[in-house]
Amino acid sequence: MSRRETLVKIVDTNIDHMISLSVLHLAQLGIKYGIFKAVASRPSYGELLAQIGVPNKPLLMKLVEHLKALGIIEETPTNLILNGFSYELKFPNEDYLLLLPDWIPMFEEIYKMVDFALISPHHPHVLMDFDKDADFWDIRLSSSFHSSYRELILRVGGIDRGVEVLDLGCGSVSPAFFGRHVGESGIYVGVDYSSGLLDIARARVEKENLPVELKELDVAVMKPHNSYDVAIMSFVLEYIQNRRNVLGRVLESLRDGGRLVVVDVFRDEFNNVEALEFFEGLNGDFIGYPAKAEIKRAILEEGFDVSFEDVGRSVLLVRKL
Amino acid sequence: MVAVIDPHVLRSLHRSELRRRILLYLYEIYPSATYLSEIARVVGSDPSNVRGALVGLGNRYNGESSLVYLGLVEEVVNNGFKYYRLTEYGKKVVEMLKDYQSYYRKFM
Repeated sequence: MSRRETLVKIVDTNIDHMISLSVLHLAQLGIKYGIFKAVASRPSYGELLAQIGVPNKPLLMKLVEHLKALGIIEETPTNLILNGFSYELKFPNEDYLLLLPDWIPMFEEIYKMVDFALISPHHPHVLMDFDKDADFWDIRLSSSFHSSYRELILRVGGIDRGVEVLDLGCGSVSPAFFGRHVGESGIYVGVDYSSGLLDIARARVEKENLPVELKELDVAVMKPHNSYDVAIMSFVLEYIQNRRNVLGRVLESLRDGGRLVVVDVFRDEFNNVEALEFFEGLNGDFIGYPAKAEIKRAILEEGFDVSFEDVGRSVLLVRKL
Repeated sequence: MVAVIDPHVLRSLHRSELRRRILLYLYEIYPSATYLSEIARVVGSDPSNVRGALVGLGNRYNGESSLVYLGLVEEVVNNGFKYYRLTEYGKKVVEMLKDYQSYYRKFM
């Protein structure tokens, strides 16, 4: 098996298990906050919200909605019911060697944050804001899971010396990583709306004097003026409302033969993504994971001549013809 | 098990200039250990304050935020003398702190 194939399996497998554990933690929240016990007596939606004594009712509603999306709770026209949900946790033998341990403690931190978020969305122990909590995000982005998909992007996008790269939602770790690979003859432009993450990225880039340009811009409204060989969108589309417009502008910025690499938890490739969405939704800007089909359709509707390559389940390579 | 840095540890360091100075000095001399009065001399503080930052001291210093309690510094006893040395985890935290300086400046 090639290194690229191994990386594809590592990224896909770890996302599978992130989702699995999120399903279990969502079920745990249902028990912990007495939601299942309350639903067992078939209350109306309003009655349930009144019965569960947490101050942050909008988040409680979101929790109920996610439990509904997973099929654990069902809503009839008049009330909520439980429908005998069962869930099988699968650990195929071949997965063991692919599992990365260091995303688990990050998720444990996030699971703990839910308790505080149910008190108030602005509780100081909720550390999911890109700017205010850039240190926590940087720790997440430094994990071996994130390193694995960055290496995969490198291989899938053909990022090497002399290549010109645009990275949308670059975060704090990718700039130095890709900057090292494009070398002095290339250029890496990282765009992010979090000044905190860019501050951390800048400190690393300056330390190594890398050919990196960082721009504090909102990807949703930016319009790239230069042309690039490769564009990267890793785990950013879930924060963008108007994906079609953004994808159109990114494809416009690519030279003929240019490549767009999209990495994400595609909802048409992974089951039960709603569980992961609940926890990632502690970040107020999170909208929801995209579908691969939605991205392909948006790009084609924008009128671009492209070819698509599914690289495993979590990566989509778009070549501009 | 990969060491994961608790963001609360980073933030508690961000709030204490003395703890940060001690950590940076121990990072400079890593992996060597040194004794309390030497640390106090280098960071320009009173030995009792340095002791508080290292291991906690009565109600003036919160022991649960001390560098030893947080696992950033270890206390080594040799021939009846106590020495202090940065742990592997402490080294990782210092390296992160350096990257976070301009980001943390916004909160000051």
